[in-house]
Amino acid sequence: MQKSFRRQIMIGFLIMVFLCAFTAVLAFMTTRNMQKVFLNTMRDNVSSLKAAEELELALLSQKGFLSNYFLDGNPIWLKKLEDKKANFQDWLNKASVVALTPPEKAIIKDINLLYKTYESERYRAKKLYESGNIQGAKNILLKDMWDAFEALYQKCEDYIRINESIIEKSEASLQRKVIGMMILIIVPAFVIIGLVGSMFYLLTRRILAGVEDIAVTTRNINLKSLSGRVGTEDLEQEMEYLAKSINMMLERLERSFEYIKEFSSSIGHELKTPLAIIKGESEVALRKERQAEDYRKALSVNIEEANRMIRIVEDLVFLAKLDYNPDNIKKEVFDFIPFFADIEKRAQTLVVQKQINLTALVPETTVTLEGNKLHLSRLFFNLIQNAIKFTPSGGRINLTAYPEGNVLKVSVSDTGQGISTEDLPRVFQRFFHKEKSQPESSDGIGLGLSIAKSIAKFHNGDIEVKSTPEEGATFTVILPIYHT
Amino acid sequence: MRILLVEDEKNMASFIKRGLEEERYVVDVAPNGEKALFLAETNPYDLIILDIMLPDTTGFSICKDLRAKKIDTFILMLTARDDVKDKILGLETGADDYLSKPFDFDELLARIAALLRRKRLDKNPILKVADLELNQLTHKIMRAKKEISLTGKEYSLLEYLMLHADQVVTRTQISEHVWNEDFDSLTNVIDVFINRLRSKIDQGFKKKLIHSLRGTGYMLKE
Repeated sequence: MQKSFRRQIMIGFLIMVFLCAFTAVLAFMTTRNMQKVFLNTMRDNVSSLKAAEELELALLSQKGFLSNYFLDGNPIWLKKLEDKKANFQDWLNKASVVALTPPEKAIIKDINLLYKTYESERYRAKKLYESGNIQGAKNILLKDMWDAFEALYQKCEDYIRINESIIEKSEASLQRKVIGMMILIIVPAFVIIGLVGSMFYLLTRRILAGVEDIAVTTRNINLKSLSGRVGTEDLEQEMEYLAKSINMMLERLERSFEYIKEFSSSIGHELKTPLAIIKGESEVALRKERQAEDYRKALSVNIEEANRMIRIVEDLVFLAKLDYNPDNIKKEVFDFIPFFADIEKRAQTLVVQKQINLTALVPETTVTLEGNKLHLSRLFFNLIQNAIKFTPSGGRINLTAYPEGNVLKVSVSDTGQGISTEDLPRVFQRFFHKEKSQPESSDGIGLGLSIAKSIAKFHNGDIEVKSTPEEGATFTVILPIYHT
Repeated sequence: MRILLVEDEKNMASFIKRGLEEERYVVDVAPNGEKALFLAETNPYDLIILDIMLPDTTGFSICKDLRAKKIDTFILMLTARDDVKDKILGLETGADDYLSKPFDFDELLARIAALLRRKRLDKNPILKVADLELNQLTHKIMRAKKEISLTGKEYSLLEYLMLHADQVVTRTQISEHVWNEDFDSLTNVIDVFINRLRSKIDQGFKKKLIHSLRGTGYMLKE
């Protein structure tokens, strides 16, 4: 599935909802647990309550055991009574720990006191009985001890009642507390989910709005409307950066397309002329029966034009190779001086016809270059042929080579018509024509200087041009000297 | 019919000139704007074929100059530039028609013929005087339903006389429309051709069509 911000944020949101729900469940479970612990404590209360009830019975049975003892004097009753007494003491200790509320505490205290009274009465009765005063013991048993028992019993009843109501109240308040706690955890969780969710949503919308704008703008861009740009106002830093990057890319694209458009229209024009001649020449030749000589002439014109097209195409392929695939061109290290002497010799043969005086000034040391000799000689011949073309008969062309620091400068200057200031920056442009001096010539397709410049650039060099109109022009080739 | 061809490409000019001459047009070639303006101002051409990209100027500027000088000769622009903007600019600066290279030679001929017919009231390509007929499309000549065979020059001369039937045509007019720049008007070539035409058209017919007007020129009429 394709990646999308919207989906990722949606997933993030769902994970958050899940986490919140999980927290809520956890909270619920914790409170439930708490409730359990609390209830267990309560149960302790309840158990002491039960013990209190048992106590009442114990008190009763204590009284019973004592009266039995008084009746038959069997010490077993005393033993049983002591056991119950220990139980009672146990219970009292437990109950005083569990007793939390003041009325409970008060009752426990009362019970303690009453029990002491009851015990001391019992003790007194026992003593009387053992000293033989059976009647006195019976009296205590039936009256004082009975009263103490009644009071104690009454207190135990109170204790049971209070405890029951406390348990009831506590249970209700615990129920309320648990619900309140759950509300306290779950409500904020959902409020946070809502807030974060809407924040997510707004942020996503804001990001996506920028993306949308970029998408719409770029989608509307085609070869006819490369001038469109993405809006950069009122955008976040990151989106602005993206928008600006896209605009810069569009800028470069537009320039490249403009160049290609101009270039292909120029190629079209350059190729259409020879095509029109080949087509026209052939059509005229075929209009009627002719002498063999006429056909021969037509065919040789066609060959001439086909050759012109081949030259144009070869030049273009060469330029493309220089510009885009220069790695396949081999370089060698060579001495420039003999190489240049050879160029001068060949140039001399070209100027003879126009009676141009060609001189060369070359340093006497060796100058080592690294480059492709074939392409470099093409560079110099393009410049020399250009000079010859624009220099009238009787004019002069000077070739000068001189090392300057790390570079070798080779200039080709002529005494021709020169180049006007407005044309000067355009002479290296592809298909730039300037044929005023030779109106009837049809050679030269405006690629010569452009090729020369590309060759110089390929050798990490350059060509500069200076000119005074009507006095001449100087093209200076700058090439780096090779150091071992 | 005399045509000025303004074209700097030698080979282009060469085949257009030959092709047109074979179609009995008279053609002068100007390889640049300067010569084109000079020729167009000196000679009364019936049509100018104008290239746009010229070494010294553009066809647009020549067109403007010619129209400014009240030279209203038909102008057919012929160029490798086929941008609609260029076509519009050409027609706006005063050209009558526009043809982009590469073109069909037959289309060029058809457009030239159509332009030349425009200034005539009678748009019929068959010219008629009495029982003499000249078909401008097939170049056939008939007199009294009988075909007459003429050379290229004789045809051009007869066509010119027929286009100006019932009008006096001077020797200068004939030399300007039927011969090109290389013609030496001091010779009696025109008289020689008129005599040849007479022998082919009027000989054997009772009614003579070609008349000489002493001191002025010639006239073709019933």
